[in-house]
Amino acid sequence: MKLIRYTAYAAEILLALTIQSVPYLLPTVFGEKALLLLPLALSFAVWEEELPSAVLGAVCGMAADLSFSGRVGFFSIFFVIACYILSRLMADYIKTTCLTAVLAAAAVIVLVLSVHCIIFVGDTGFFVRHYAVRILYTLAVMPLFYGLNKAVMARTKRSMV
Amino acid sequence: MKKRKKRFRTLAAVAGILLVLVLLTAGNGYVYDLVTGSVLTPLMQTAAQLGNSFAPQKSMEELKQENSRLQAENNRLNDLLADYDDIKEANQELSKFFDIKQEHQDFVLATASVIARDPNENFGGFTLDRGSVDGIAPNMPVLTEKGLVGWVNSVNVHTCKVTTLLSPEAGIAAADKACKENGVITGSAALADSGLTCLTNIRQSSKIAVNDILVTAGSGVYPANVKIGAVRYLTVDSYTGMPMAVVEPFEDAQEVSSVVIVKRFTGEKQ
Repeated sequence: MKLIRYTAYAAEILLALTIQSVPYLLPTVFGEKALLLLPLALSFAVWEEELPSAVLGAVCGMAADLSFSGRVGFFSIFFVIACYILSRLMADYIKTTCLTAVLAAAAVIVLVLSVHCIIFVGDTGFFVRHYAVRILYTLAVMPLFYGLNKAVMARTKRSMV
Repeated sequence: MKKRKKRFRTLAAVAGILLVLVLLTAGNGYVYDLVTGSVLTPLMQTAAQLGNSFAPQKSMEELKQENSRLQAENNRLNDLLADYDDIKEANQELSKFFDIKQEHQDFVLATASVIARDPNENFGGFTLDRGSVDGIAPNMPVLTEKGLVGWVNSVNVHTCKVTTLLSPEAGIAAADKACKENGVITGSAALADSGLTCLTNIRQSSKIAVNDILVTAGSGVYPANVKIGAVRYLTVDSYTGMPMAVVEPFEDAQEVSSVVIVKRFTGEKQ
């Protein structure tokens, strides 16, 4: 059943990458698109253990890096660390609910995209005009991925019983 | 006797009416047409409709066969129409780039389509459907019929990424066609929002003016005389204090869907 679950995750990653990259497929909000791979990786981390979360974070991060710059680096590193920490927190310290998942995701999304703006743009006005909208749009899809992967986990774990 | 007189009067009356009608309709048939048309035409139309309902009908089998034949013909024509639309669109795209080839006959060109725009791409960069298998290499100029769009930043087997003029990474040698002044096109985050870029490294005594056309200077990386944009206004760089021209590129990098990559040109640095 793990195979089925990871196959579902792989399909989600491919779908998210395609939807966020292909022009006119994802609606824009004030000219900005959501970075779908980030909330997707965090939704994996909410339900999976630390090692699988880190690996899935790495895969999502590499996909985001290859789409953005063609070189693996920024997103891969951040996604791995964020997914590992989130998975650990959800397992040991925080009760897993939609609200806690969204709040945790909000902290990560703000941090990742803020650092991205500092490194690759370095303009405060640009952050306000573009990244703020991008952060909100990216966060808005988190509940969707949370629910989706909750269902995936429930189905595959039920099948194991 | 009385009966004869009566018959004669009747005959004379009929002849008289006929004579009147002959005289009325002589020369043109307007009156005749007016009278008969007003009365007879509606009657004939109604009769014709009634008559059609009695016309011999096709059998159900014949109707089914005819329907199938017409559907097949319709599908064939729809397929031809779809092909026609595709060919027409391809022709329109290629005819735009024919002008580039006419203007720069030494260019070896490859057409490409935009297949992806990353959400984290801040300066209009995009991914094209051409890669190393198509002979694409980094630093190749990318343009449309309107002008320079950017350059190939990185290449994969089947795709390549393009960075546009709006990016701060740009460093394109440019020349003003009017006053022959040189400078360097480079983008900035502040101007990229408005789809503008800037010309820097220009002299204090520069004669560059608003509305001047800028073209590539032909540095060996980019071919010469490729249109870039027009000077929108002149200002001073806040960091260096040197004069700077804000440039509006002729092509909007955010909206392009198909471009041309210059694979080779005369004067290219190897």
